[in-house]
Amino acid sequence: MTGTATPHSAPGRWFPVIGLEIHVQLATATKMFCRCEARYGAPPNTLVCPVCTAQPGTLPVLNAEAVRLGVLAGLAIGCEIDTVLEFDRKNYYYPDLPKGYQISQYDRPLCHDGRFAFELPDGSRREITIQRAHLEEDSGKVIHPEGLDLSLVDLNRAGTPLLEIVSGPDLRSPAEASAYLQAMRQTLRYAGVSDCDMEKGSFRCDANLSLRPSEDAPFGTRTEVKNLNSFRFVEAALNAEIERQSAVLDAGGTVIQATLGFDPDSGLTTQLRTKEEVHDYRYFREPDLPAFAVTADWIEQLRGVLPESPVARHQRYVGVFALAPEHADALVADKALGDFLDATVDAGASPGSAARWILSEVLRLANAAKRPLDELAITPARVAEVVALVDAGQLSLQASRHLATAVEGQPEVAVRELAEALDLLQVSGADELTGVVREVLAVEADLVARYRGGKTELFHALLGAVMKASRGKANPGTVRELLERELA
Amino acid sequence: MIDPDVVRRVAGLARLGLSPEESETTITQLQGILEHFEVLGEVETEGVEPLAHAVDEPGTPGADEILVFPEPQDTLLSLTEHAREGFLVVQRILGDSDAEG
Ligand SMILES: [Zn+2]
Repeated sequence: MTGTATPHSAPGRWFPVIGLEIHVQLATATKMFCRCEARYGAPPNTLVCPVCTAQPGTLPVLNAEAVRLGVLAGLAIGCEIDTVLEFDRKNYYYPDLPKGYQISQYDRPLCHDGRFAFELPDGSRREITIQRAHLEEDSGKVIHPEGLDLSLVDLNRAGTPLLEIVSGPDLRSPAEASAYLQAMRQTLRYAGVSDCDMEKGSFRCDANLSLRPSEDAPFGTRTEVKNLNSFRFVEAALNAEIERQSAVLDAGGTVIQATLGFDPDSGLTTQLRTKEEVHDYRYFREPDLPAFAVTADWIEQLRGVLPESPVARHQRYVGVFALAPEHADALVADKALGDFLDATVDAGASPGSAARWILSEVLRLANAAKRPLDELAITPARVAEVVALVDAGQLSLQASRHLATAVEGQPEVAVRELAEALDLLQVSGADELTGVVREVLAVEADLVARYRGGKTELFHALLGAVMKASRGKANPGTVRELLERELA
Repeated sequence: MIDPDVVRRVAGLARLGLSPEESETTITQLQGILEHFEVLGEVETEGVEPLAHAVDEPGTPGADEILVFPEPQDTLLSLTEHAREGFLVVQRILGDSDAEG
């Protein structure tokens, strides 16, 4: 870091320190402080009332479900939950904030001091700290029409409940940040607290980034990169900002604390404002809301009903269901897929066969229909019946694929009936097959004689003849046994 | 003490553009308000817990059930002449306040 001109951005010369702030919209039916519907995509300003448009004299009424989901989320990401819930005003002026302040939490966040573990792309495990997660209300949306010298405000989103999750400055690379973000989204989805849909803005991310010359040096000056609202952009934006800061430091300069945006088209971070413009939010306790009690009993009760985490599900699939790790990965990655498997196993299917069949056939049906799993006609119970037929050797894997299409197409007909109607069931009844085997042996007397004469490789020809005679419906294992017995 | 710098800063935070005359008036007004509040400084508060809310009882949150405000667009948008195709119209600005933090 001398002033001499050295070629910059030797890779790995600067060590990044990254912390992420995630805003998650909680999946309530109504807004945080009024009972307007909280829904994405409605015509502008149709989900509003005097409270969320800040008409004089209105008062906020806290949404109990927002608190419940906030506590559930906090528990899911390994946080401590405060037993007192207080709100504060964060004051700033912007057209999408009708009150002139946001109701948020300042010095007593609902959730604090968490530890969150996740897996890196190389399969190693990483654990970082969650400093806090607090409740607050969302702002409205501002639209900037092309070619018009005005902006348009839609307050449908104003007052929607958010949980802001602040990680410690513990992430060490853009790839780690991305893996953390994905794991966080999956965990929150599993906990059922949010749909975490980045496209609809229900999962948004800002990043703090600084560089230092070695891994144990003090933190450098950080900048904040705003609105990394797609997984693709997170790594690209962080890499771009590492490049930018490295160039400044390599040239002997100092990084100035600033807020930046990321332009995906140019792949560059650009300054939104410098430190001098950072707002003084003048936080103070929200006088319109009393403190709320979050009892230890209730927290424990919620801990008890917290849905299984993705990590726990993966462990169960590998440890209890004995699935191949890559099958477990695929089934855990999509919660609906794992839910389908669990329901199929609950309906009596063996986990391994059910997993294989769901990953091939049910997914194929869903892709063909371009529909989510829960909108398919095929149900876990019917999948369990198909899988049971396969496991019992009554249905070949090949035949089960034909059956899948029929089961999806004719939800009113019983699985076994469909299999029979399509003539897909294997004949594995020994009595029935014994007859077929004897007939074949009689017809193929020549082959039998040569087999008995020592040409044992002819066994396969005989097996094939029996399979053919059964029109492919015989269970090969049973035929083999019967043949061996008859030829002995 | 309220001086022109303080007024400029507070006006900036409130996104208000003040003329020099308005700025002068504001200094006088804010100074008066502060002096008024200084009267409160005479009260002995040693050992008294700060009070954030007059009600000591914990609050009761409401149920998460939709209550539609009747004709929200008509009644609420009619409060302003700055409306257009269901939107509120403001001076052109750059982004959402998401960008505020
Ligand atoms: Zn409302």
